[in-house]
Amino acid sequence: MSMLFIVVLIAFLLFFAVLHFLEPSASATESQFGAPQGLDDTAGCCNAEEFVSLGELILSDRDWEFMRREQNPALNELFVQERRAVVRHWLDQSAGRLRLIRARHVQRSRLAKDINLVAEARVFLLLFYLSLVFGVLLILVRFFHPYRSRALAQHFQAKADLLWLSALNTESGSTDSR
Amino acid sequence: MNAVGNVGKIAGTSAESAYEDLWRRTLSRIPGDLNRLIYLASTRDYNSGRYHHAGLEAHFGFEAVHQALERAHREVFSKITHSSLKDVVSGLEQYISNCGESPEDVMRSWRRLQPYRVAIPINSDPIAAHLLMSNLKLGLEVLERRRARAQDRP
Repeated sequence: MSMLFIVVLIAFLLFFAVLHFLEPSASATESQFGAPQGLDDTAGCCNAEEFVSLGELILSDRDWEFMRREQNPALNELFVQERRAVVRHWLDQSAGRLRLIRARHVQRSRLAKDINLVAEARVFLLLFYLSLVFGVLLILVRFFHPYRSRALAQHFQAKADLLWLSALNTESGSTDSR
Repeated sequence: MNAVGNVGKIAGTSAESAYEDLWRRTLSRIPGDLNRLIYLASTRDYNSGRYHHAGLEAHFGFEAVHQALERAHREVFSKITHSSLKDVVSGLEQYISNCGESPEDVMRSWRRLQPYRVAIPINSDPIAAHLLMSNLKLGLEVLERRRARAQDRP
């Protein structure tokens, strides 16, 4: 019985994750503080030299401890709400970046003369896997305390950041060689 | 060297000199990074996004001063974004006590109007901007609760 419940739960989570990524949310394409840059917009925040991962800052222990020391439940609740909004924005942005990487990779693959099918399949599986994970994380963050899924979010965020950085480097490399 | 190369080199050197001058004469005298951030944002034209400083422009030219102010703005923004919530609260306290208005008025207008939203540099990371805005909002709430608690004490 409990096995059936777990299977149904996983199916439910995967369904919503896939749904989320099939229909990109408005916040992913146009956030409150401006649209996320595409690979073409390598200026400003998104160039490889200036890129800084914000994972440690968003869910830092020192901030949580500081708020707890204020001993005010309303403040703690506000802190959780605020951090939840930032984490969701952060995960949304990463999911948007993965979509951009996938689109750009498809574009490059179409133009390539010799394609390694195994390597292509691995890249797509990795991107699909990460997209699915971010979908599940978005659901977890929506319903639970954002610090609960911190380790998981930071781990997968680091992987997505690496992919993004490598995409930026590839992009700047191809721009330089033009 | 061609003329274009010369212009590029001179412009770069002037921008660097303008940046050093800006720090030496102005920014180093402003207490706290939040004060500096607000000051630097105030030198930016809302419509064009260009930075202006009459005194510096007389010496270094428009483009060099724009570059210097933009660089300083990005650096100060990045520094505040990477500081802890505790430091943001201290920065807010310092800003409110230095701005020359009554702390109650400043707190009220900052909580309602959120003027700090215009202090974000162009091309900054949207997540970094969101985090800083969120920390400033939290910081204001922390200060407000502390103030209310202090008033409740006999």
